[in-house]
Amino acid sequence: MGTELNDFINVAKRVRPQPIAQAIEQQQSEEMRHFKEVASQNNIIFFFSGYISQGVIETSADAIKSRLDATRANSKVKRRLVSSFIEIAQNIVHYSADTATDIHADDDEFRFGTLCISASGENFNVMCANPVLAATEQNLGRKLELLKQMSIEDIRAAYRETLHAEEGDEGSKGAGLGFLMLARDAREPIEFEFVPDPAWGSEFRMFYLKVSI
Amino acid sequence: MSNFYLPGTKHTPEVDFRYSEHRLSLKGECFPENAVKFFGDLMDRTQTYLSGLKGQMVEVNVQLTYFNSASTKLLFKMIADFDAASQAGNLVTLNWYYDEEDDTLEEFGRDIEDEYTSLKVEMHALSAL
Repeated sequence: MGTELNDFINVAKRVRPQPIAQAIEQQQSEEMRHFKEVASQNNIIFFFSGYISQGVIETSADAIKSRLDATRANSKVKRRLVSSFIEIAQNIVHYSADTATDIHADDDEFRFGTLCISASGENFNVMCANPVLAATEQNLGRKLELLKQMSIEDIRAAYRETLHAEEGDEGSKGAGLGFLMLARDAREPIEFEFVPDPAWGSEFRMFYLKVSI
Repeated sequence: MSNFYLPGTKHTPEVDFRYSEHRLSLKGECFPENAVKFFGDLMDRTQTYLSGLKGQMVEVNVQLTYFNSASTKLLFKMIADFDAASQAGNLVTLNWYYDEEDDTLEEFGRDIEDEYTSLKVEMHALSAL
């Protein structure tokens, strides 16, 4: 691989007057370099901001698994990280207020969100951000606040109770159980925030979530 | 009724429900975008199959590496159907396969064992390759 790359560089040198490495450096914008520095300082191992779909989630999960294989994190942590990532990402696809597909669609959806995973020693943080309706702050906010106060035993009990319960919420694709599963796998209470966003107007909030694995 | 087969994908398990042989198997990953869509038809067919049984031995094999929250709920419901079939006089065995290092999967199997007492649950810990 190294020899091939050198051959390529030598060929490219004959085409371009400058050394290839220098040309690439100059092409990189200051913003890109700054972004990479920030990412590196924060130990960001995954970042995606855009319209998320099932396909994006599958490919991202694969990429994250490969990346994790190179780290020293234990298998339980790795497994919980991937599970949590998928759960959080699917929440965006189901509930983000910014949708590229029909709001009433129930499959093949594309919705906007930001997903970010950072490493912290042998642990990880999964964060996400997506716009939601302001009413969600009342409903979901209240549930998440209660969840934050719960002990791990309470969480496990609530998880079992929810699992056994009959179908409840209209339009819910498993939200209650999903957050309980995230809380159960997390090493700290789940952090969240609903922030008004001037770009979005008063009927919306930006929803932030952080799960520590 | 005709057997049901679906090849596995990156996000859905292989479904090999051989009603004629009374052997129903699920294997792989399970995080479909819409779990109701994925499980709905399968559960309907399976309920029809189960309701027609009398004093029948049935083998259910589940070897899932991961299931998202929506799938968890429906999987649990489907297992409830197997338990009901057991209560109705059939002998349904659920073989629950899990990676020996996966405490989440193991725990789920034990929860099923505790909850569904008419069902015969066999736990199978698989050593990591």
